[in-house]
Amino acid sequence: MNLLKKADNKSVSRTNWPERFGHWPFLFVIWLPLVVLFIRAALGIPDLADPDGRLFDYGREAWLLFKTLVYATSVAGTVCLAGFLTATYVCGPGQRQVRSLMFLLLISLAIPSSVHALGWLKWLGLFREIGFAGIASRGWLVSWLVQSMALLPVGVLIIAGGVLIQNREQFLAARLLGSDTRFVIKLLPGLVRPQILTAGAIVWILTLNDYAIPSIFSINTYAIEIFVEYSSSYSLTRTVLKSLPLVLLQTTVLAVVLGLVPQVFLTGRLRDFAGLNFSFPRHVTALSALGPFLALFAVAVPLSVIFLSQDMWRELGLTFEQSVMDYLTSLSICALAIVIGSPLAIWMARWIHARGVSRRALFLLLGPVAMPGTLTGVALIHLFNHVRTNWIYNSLLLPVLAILGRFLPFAVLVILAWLKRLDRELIWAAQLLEPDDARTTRRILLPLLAPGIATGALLMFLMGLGELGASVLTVPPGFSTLTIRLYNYLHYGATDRVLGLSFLIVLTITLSLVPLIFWPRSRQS
Amino acid sequence: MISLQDVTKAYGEQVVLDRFCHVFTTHSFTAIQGPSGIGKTTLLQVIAGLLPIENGRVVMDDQVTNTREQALHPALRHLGFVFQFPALWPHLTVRQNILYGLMRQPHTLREERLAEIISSLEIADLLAKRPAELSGGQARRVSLARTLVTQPRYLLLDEPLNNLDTRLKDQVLTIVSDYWHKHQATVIWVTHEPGEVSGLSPVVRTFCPSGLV
Repeated sequence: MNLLKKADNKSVSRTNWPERFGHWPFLFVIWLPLVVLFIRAALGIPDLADPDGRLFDYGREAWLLFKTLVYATSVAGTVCLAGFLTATYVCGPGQRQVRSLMFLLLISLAIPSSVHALGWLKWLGLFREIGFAGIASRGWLVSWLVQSMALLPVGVLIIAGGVLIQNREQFLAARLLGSDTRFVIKLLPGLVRPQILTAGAIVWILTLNDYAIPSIFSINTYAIEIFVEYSSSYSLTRTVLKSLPLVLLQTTVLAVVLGLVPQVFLTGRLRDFAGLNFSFPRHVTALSALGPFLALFAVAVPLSVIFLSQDMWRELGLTFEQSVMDYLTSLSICALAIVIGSPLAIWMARWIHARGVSRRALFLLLGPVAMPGTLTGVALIHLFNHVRTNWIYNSLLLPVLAILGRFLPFAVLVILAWLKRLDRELIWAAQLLEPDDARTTRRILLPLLAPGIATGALLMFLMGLGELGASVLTVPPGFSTLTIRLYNYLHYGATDRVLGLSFLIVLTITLSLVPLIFWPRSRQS
Repeated sequence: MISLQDVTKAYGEQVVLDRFCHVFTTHSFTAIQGPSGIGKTTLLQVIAGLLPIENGRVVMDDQVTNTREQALHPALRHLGFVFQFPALWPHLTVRQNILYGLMRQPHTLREERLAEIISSLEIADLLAKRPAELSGGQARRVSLARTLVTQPRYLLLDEPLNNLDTRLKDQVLTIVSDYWHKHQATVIWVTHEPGEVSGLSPVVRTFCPSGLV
């Protein structure tokens, strides 16, 4: 009997299209502007004319780059130290408060850096009034302090969160074989080393790319230099060439930590940490408590200044009246980013998941994170500044694309983490019963992924709300965003307006996190 | 009949099925034994079309279902798969979980099959609940109901008695045995304890990468 027969027409390919082609929309929206930017910059090199034969003041810029790198490294080091101290605290007396702390830090992630700057300006002024006259109000030191405080939640969440995904038995075994202090010194650093390195790299890159805080505290960093270059010359080639050292350094660091990303973000589940009962000596407990204390302080400073200002409350109505269009513009941009970005994020996450989380896939995903915001804005401007694409160039779609370019990778990472946690047998069970993969996606996969999709969308919304670097270049004439207005007010010293706008931002952040609290647990996978 | 011809399946460097050949005759009950991690589950997943193969082919009732290039969709193979764990969808009720595979069938047929299966598995009072509200034993019975309600021709069971107490084991064995006799299905049961199915008089085979001995 001939058992061999060609498969009939009902044979289908093994994977459906997002798992084969899901990366293309992401590449098109995120990488195409950057690739075109670099190609055009390269083509423009022969046309660069400099009568002195020197393109830039290399000595001055090398020195500026060096200072900026030292600045970013010191911020990253500070944040990582605070993160490790918090991780230690979580193992000991902080077990019960850890989730509350994490939730509070999550909220503070979205507070724009200029709001942190304002908070610290006020507090430092207060310290000077009560007798600490020597405290500076500008310069590298105070900028380091404010930048560290602004980014502390990022580092603490990643590093202390790294403790929560460890295998509980590793901790118990340590308690059986040595003192708890010895555990902190000998074992804990190794256990959370991937988290420390990854958090350090992320904070380092974010610091290098931020110019809001440095400009408010009157220091010149390389990111400001890039922005100034474009503002003065409007030369794409000069801007790209100037940003090349920063981009190369950031890309190198990113490439090094890419191997750690799966360990840090894509494996493990948050575990119940109660009952470990680590008992540290008082000096260790006190030292470790510095970590969460600093983290809470970093959150409290901007919030206290916002909420305790009487002038702010008095002027709030007027502030809102004057800023309502900017507020609606910010909300519209972020909402559009979610609508356009969510399908792109899902498709990209499914593509990576189907292919396996390789370094190449992660670089495709996270490479754009290494681009300064100015460069993202410049790339979009030059790509769409044509007659045929005027409908994008002169609309809110351009800042939407800017937000996607900067933050869509993080949304993909969140959804990918959720996908990896998903029991694949849940999908297989559906595939065994339903031949239509689109239906399986709609009825089974998407509902199971819903928490991850919502979290990724929320992350993109919150980060987009506080974005400045690319927005300032891409928002069309006649429009402005809350952060642009806030930044301008801060420079002009209109403190009450700044506080009012900050209140609006914090209120928006808090309201957008409310659904998380009421998300029905019984539906969670 | 299920025929595996020179099927090769590897995970990176590790070859799990090495030119595997075997024929499962129609209406047979085969118990496959072997230590954990040797490839028994992989065999079932390849037959079900859930994993691709590097070489060879799988033929089910004269139809080639798996080759290196193509695979027939799992849902078109008329087979049921019982996983080690219930794999119920948490956002659907028990009723929705069970009826998922019958959504393309007429309403009357759906209700008829549902009534039959919930009666035989004693889960009538669970229909409105969600998986999170079920005990382990209830979840296992619902999972079986979801698999058996479509009346598959082939039934693949991957260590279905793991983590079950004696009473529940007996229940599952009875349900599978009744189904096998009533519907004349072809059953492939993977286990690392062949004694657990001895009461069903299966053909017991030991797994090895090139076939069953």
